[in-house]
Amino acid sequence: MTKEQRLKKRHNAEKRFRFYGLASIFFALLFVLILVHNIFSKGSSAFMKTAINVEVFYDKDLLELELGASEEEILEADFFDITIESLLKVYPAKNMDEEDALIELFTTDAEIEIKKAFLNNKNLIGKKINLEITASDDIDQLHKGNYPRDLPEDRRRISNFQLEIYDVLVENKTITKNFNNYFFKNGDSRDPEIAGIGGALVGSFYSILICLLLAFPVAVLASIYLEEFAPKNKITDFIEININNLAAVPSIVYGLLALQILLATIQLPRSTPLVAGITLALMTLPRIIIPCRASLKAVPPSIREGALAVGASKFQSVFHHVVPLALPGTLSGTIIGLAQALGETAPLILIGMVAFVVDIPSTPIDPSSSLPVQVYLWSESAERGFVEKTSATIMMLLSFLIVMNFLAVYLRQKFEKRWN
Amino acid sequence: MNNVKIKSKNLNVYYGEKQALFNVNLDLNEKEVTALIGPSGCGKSTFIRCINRMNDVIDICKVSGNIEIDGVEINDKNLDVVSLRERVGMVFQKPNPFPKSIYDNISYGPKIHGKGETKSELDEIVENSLKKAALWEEVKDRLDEPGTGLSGGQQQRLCIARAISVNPEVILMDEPCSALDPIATAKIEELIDELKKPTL
Ligand SMILES: Nc1ncnc2c1ncn2[C@@H]1O[C@H](COP(=O)(O)OP(=O)(O)O)[C@@H](O)[C@H]1O
Ligand SMILES: [Mg+2]
Repeated sequence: MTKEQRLKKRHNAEKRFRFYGLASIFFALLFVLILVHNIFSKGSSAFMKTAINVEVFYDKDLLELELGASEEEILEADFFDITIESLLKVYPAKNMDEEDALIELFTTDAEIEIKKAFLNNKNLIGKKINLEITASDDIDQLHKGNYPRDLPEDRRRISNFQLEIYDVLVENKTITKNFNNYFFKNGDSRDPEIAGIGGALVGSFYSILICLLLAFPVAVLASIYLEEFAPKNKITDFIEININNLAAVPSIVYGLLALQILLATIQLPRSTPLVAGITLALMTLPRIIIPCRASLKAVPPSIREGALAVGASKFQSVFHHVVPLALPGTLSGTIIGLAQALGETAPLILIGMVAFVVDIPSTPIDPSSSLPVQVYLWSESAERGFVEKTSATIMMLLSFLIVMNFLAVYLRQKFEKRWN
Repeated sequence: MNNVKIKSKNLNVYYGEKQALFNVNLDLNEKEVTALIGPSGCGKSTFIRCINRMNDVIDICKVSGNIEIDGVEINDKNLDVVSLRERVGMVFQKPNPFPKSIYDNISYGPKIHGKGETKSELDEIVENSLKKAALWEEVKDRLDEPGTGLSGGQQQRLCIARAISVNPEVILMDEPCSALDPIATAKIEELIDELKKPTL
């Protein structure tokens, strides 16, 4: 082979390698795009909800409330009759069946919405007001174009009569799409149109907070001790191997552990962020210790020697010099560990977070859901309305993860000091 | 003839199975510059690291024999290495300033030893140390800039200033100029000559 041929071969090998590299990046990006597109196209409609404009008449005779009634009296009061009267005025119904069909167009929470509007303005007695009453799940899905209206009537959840009303409402422009505040504010519900991730958000927040408070200090202290103070011998080697093993243990095993120890033995309350946080902390601990030790290891020994040589004690050299230098890596490792914990589902299912919880937890010992478990719960539900909610929850979860990962990268780049 | 400051008797050092120093008997005098020369790997670093017990840091390193400073045995388990290292400063082969400001690099030693209670006392120590290390003129306007941003020669003088800052009786320097250009080397050699003077 001549010199030229060899050179050519080398260049070709390089070109081939670049091509393979680009091709694999392209494929990876393609899959990410497909995933994101899939989630977005399904989920983005969940941020809007369909509402129907209804004229509500707070009839004094039906209300049994006096002007200047207290908040409690209003909460106790029955708004059912007013609700029915108002909803029936939307479209002329000829008989009881048609009336039922008409009322079915609205959310089961219509009465509560009408009551809330009254709570906001207590002078409404005897007055009329136009309210945007949330539509039922079926109408919502129909209006968003997710429901096939060309099915034969007996296989449709919406009757011909209801379709007729819907078309009139569309024509009159009394049916609208608004921002879906329920999705962020409400807890879970059997009715998709009023179900939200509020409870799951709070539950996840408490769980991750508890996880952070437990795992971070323990992991940092363990890493500092192992890396800087522990003698290097068989025992520390054994501990090191075990920490690496623990980081690879499937998360469901931690769920089983929590079930046995936290719930069965210590009898902590089931389905609570407290138990979730402790479980996630156990799981996250080795995942923080590993990057934390790595960043301690990355601090050059010359820094330690420099400190020792001016008469710093071991403790001072570690805490004045080594730990501050390792901090950016430690923090980003912690955030990435927490991001993993945030998306963790299996152990939470085992500790009972799959329970159907409507109320938004106010403390970490209230039963609660969490974002990934909410995804799991809704993806199992039959109602069409939960499909978009599942994807929208995934979108929220992904945005949190992206923010956390960016934060990790930012912290590392911003605070990482360079030596020499 | 000056008094003997450091006395090593039958000093043997082992790295695990491997013996690095064999029966070193050596007297080093006060107010003198003593240079150790020898081929790479002959044990120069190992010897001087015995004098401030820096070999303690290396797990596999075992030291036997005696080293006395001012007649006091320092190779003693009960000896407080922190105060020993305050008296015996060290400058390393590769400049190793802390990744902190120039000021903090120098003030760190005095601070941890409780010298320089007030800011003005510390300022004075920093200024004096940098002057003795012949670095003051070059850095006096940028004391809050990172020490790692200096050139190699300046970094090494910064490390010398750091060693001087706690007023040590002995300064150990392990090939302090091996990574420097001839001009920086000349400066440091001059500096070493200055440091032995009794005024210090
Ligand atoms: N940390 C260490 N672990 C094992 N052997 C070492 C270590 N440091 C030095 N040695 C060995 O000790 C001998 C002396 O090294 P050193 O004192 O660094 O020599 P010099 O400074 O004269 O170049 C060398 O043979 C070296 O291989
Ligand atoms: Mg050497």
